[in-house]
Amino acid sequence: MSEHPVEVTVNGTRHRLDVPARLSLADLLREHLGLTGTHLGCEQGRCGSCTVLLSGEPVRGCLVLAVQADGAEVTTVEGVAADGTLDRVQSALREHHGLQCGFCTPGIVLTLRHLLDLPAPPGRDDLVAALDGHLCRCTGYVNILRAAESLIGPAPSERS
Amino acid sequence: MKPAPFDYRSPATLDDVVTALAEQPGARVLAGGQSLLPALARRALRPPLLVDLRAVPGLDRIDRTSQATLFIGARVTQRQIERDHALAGECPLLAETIRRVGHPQTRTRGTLVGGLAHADPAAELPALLVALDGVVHARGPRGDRRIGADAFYLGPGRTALAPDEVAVAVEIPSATTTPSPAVPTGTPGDAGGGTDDTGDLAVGGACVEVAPRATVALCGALATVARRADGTVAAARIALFGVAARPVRARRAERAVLDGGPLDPALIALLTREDLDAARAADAELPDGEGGTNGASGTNGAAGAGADGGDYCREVAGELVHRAIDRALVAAR
Ligand SMILES: Cc1cc2nc3c(=O)[nH]c(=O)nc-3n(C[C@@H](O)[C@H](O)[C@H](O)COP(=O)(O)OP(=O)(O)OC[C@H]3O[C@@H](n4cnc5c(N)ncnc54)[C@H](O)[C@@H]3O)c2cc1C
Ligand code: FES
Ligand code: FES
Repeated sequence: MSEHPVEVTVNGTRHRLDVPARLSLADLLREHLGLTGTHLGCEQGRCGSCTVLLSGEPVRGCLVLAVQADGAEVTTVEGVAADGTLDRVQSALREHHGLQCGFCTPGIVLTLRHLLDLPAPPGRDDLVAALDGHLCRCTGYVNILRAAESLIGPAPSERS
Repeated sequence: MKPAPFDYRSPATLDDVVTALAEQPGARVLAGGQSLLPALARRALRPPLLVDLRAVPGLDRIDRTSQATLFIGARVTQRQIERDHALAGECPLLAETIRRVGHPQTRTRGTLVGGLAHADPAAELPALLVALDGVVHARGPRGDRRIGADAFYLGPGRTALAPDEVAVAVEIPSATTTPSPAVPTGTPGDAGGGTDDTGDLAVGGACVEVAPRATVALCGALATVARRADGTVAAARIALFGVAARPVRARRAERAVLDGGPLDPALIALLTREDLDAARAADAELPDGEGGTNGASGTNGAAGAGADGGDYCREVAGELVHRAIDRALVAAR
């Protein structure tokens, strides 16, 4: 089967490649660009571990063909803390023990990053609806939700 | 698992899409990919070619006519619908139902029309077409045609679209006029019994589901009603999903709503049961789905229960219908 030209900007860097039609965006990132922070679990849209931002919106990286991302901008977890300092979503997950093995974490970071960047501040319901798109085998979700809640609404009372 | 190899084209016009489909037997239209790509990954489907709609201009629009009819193009994503706040007033059932489809991360890409074409009988969107009395506009090598909701579904993953036809848009009669032309509305000549008293109608919609987990439903009922200023019901449409091989229209229950009076849950349950029996009898007449399926079952969580949700869903269908009507009537006040 023929190869198709694709031009994508990933975390601010432009790439031009020729790819087979069946290659997913997640596999393009992992196999062709070496960005293995985007994880693949089910490869069928169920688990959410492959979530990346495509033109600023969260998508399942396994349910977008690389050819469909032609011309688009992609943000992966590598682009969130580009300078090596954890961003506030990552810090909140760390502080609230919102991860254990970390397999689901990159996708969750991008989903929350997107919510926080929306013009209207998200409510608790938005957090729950967005996190519902992610499976986590370790944490039981409570600490992930706590981390997310710490990022919205009235600032949590200062801890000493 | 990875999909089997396929070729990919992304034509710049609708006619080129149709030509590509006609030239390559087994080719599939690719819209948002949120149902098609999982089916490819499971290798439930192995099409030789995907024809992407992404480069076809004009399909990403939501248009309104002066009669307040809505046209939603084949590339309009579920996210676009969610973010269109005017739609919530124009078509409450559409707005309420879209929020329940998949997850925010799948609604970014998934389209309304793709969900209609996917024809999963356990999914909300096909039932939405039926509840809204929608009309699918299609283009094929033999020209354009319109397919009404009641003629669109032929079985799990099967629609009236030919393999070389593409759905261009869905037309939704405006919320305020969402009538039930197939249902007699009062006696002929009855004041306000028709549907032309649009200006005074208040419209409400409701989607009530059995969802063992937060967003993946087993079965459910969708209802939309239009009420006159005096509270009487001018139009009502109800559809069920997860109970048969296709979405089921609850015509007998609709008629009971139009007749007015208090809603007796036992009566609605009885009428719904009759509607289901009629639907299942009609399903049994359907031709076999040779090669026509979309690999539909299993992408919407109802896989374990089979396409029709099983006995449990049929058992609770009456109660779902009752609750959906009840909530739609309240919303339309
Ligand atoms: C995790 C997950 C959860 C989901 N949950 C739900 C849910 O709760 N409820 C629900 O209703 N859906 C659900 N879905 C499916 C929904 O997300 C899809 O968006 C929708 O069913 C298909 O839309 P699409 O644009 O992605 O279509 P695609 O996947 O691109 O196409 C689906 C099928 O329709 C055909 N098709 C698409 N567009 C056209 C067209 N214009 N003309 C002719 N044929 C066409 C394709 O060839 C294919 O056979 C879920 C999906 C996932 C991955
Ligand atoms: S790997 Fe994409 S959703 Fe599971
Ligand atoms: S931390 Fe292990 S899957 Fe979420």
